[in-house]
Amino acid sequence: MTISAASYSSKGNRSRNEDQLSLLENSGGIIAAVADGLGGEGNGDIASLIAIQTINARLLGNHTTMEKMEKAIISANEEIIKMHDNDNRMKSTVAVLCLGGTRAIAATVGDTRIYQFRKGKVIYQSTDHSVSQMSVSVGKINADKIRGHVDRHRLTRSLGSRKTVEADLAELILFLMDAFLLCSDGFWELVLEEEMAEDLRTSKNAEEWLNKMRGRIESRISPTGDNHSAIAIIMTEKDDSI
Amino acid sequence: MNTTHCLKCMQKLRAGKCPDCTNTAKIQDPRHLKPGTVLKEKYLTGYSIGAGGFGITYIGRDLVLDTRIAIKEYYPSQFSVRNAALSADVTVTGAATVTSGKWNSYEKSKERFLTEARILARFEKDDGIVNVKDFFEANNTAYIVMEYIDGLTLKEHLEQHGAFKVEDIVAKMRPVMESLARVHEQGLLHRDISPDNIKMPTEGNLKLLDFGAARFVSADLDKSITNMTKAGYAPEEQYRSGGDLGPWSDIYALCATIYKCITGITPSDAPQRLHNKTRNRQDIAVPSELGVAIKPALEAAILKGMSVLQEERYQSISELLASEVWFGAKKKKPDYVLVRQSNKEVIALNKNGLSVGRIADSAQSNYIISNNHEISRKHFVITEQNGSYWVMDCGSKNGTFLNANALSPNEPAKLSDEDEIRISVERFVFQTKPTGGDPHPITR
Repeated sequence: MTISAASYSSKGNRSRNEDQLSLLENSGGIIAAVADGLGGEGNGDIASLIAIQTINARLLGNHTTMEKMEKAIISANEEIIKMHDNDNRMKSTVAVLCLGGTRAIAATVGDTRIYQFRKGKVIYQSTDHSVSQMSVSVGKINADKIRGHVDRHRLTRSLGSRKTVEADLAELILFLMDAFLLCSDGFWELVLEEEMAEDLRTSKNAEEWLNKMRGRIESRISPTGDNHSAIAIIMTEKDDSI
Repeated sequence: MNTTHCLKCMQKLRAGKCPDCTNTAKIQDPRHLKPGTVLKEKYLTGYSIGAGGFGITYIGRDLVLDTRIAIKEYYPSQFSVRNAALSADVTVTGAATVTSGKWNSYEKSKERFLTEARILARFEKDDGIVNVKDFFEANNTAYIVMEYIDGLTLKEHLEQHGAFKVEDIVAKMRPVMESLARVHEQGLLHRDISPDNIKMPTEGNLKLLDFGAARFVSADLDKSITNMTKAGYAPEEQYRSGGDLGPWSDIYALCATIYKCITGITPSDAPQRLHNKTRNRQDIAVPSELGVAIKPALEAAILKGMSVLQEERYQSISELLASEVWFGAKKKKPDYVLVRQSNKEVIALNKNGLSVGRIADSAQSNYIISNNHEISRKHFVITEQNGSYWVMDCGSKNGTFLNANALSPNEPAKLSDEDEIRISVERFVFQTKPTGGDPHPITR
């Protein structure tokens, strides 16, 4: 397959950047991952780094399956917990996407999101593990009210918060010209899905697409704005023989 | 300096040694009160026996009544500082000192801690909840004095002995449910029911502890989910700001506790269950599928009580108890009467209540004693609520005594079988209706 991919990570207006990301080739496909260390828990930057490194170590060199992805996430959770002590309870979110052949496997823990676009529309969006998402699930608010909601930053799942973790896993079918976006909450909070789709439509490649969205964020970010990071991927050619 | 009691178990020392505890020194957290501190000149505090985000519990001794007690200290750990080696006073820090109106958030929530104790103190005779004996402010914080209950928590019992038989734990839970229903009627919620908040005393019923722990600190002081919710037992609405909490929330936690007791497994937490439910996936493992021997109707009732969506649960404990699957058909409650001891008159009691005094009260059934000026015009009343009877002194001149204890004016006290009410020289015994003969007609 051939893809166009781009990524960036910015500390926004914070003193530290606790986001981490990676984009690696793997067995004819790619592994993309974004992790957002939880601020206020201490050492969020280390937690997000451990998350990415552990997952890559478990997945690289193999064909990814749902089961392997699940185990990789569990390992990342264990590795982060090993670093805990009385003063340090570091935690991180993670979003991982493995593209290979005609399918992709997506995994998320927390509120770092994965989007899949096809023909100008969002056809897959991961569900946040946050308290405001719970309000959506019980019908108290609409999904479009999550941005800016009072409970937005309260996560119900993250790596490092419990001994066991359950990631949301999805197997996605790939079409030519499908696009993916992995992004931390500092990113998606400042760009609407319609804007993501519009910028995709008017861009020639992943880098242009990502720059357009980043431009919106930079113009909207508040003086205390969060770290923001994203990986943009466009499938320019897929491999039908696999 | 305390030289009389062991500060670990509050038993009397013998020749300076505790008969039960090892005599090695125990280290107390320096933030906790120094063991041996005496509060209100009568409560000896010992070592802490529990500490959570909102309070510290100490074993103690009531030096006047010579009984063991548990003392709960209001101490929201995120905002409180103390070095007990220097002073017993608590200092409040940071965000909690920001003022809003009359009080700051710390003061407001401390006041709520005391208000709740005040209400719980009325449930002194209630079997299913720990008795509150006293509450007061000291050391810039607040204290609740409760009965000390020997025995394991349900959590400890599960760890040591494994899961309970269904019929056994459901029967044991009944007094807790009935007490909780009465507390709900007073507008209070527990908010933190779980196996580690229910004690199984060596003698007697299960007792529910630690009321309202999660409510004392307002949401603006504490954004952490982990302090406000107990995974597996907190219902989904307890996670959300502005979540609609009510008796259904305590019912969720209670049924989740029963689930744990019969399966040995902590239920998945509410966010996870909600997540699965919205994907049309099974959100909880069904006990019978896990090998638990349980009647289908009772299993369905427990799962209903812990439905993820609040509208699918029982909305009140009386609704839960009305279902016969829990305890079988409702037994007819016995009739109660008052028997005047001086002449053995039997006075009937019913839903309308009874007013006793020198003069008739047109609003109620009356029993008149006209020839004793030590008795006030309206001396005491008896009222009925959900099958229980309560006596209340109406501000009488010479007082009403329940089992030799003077009642506080206008504060109802629950009546138990064979209780004696005394006013002046007249004594009345509250008892089940004697067989044979009709009660004395009521004077209006």
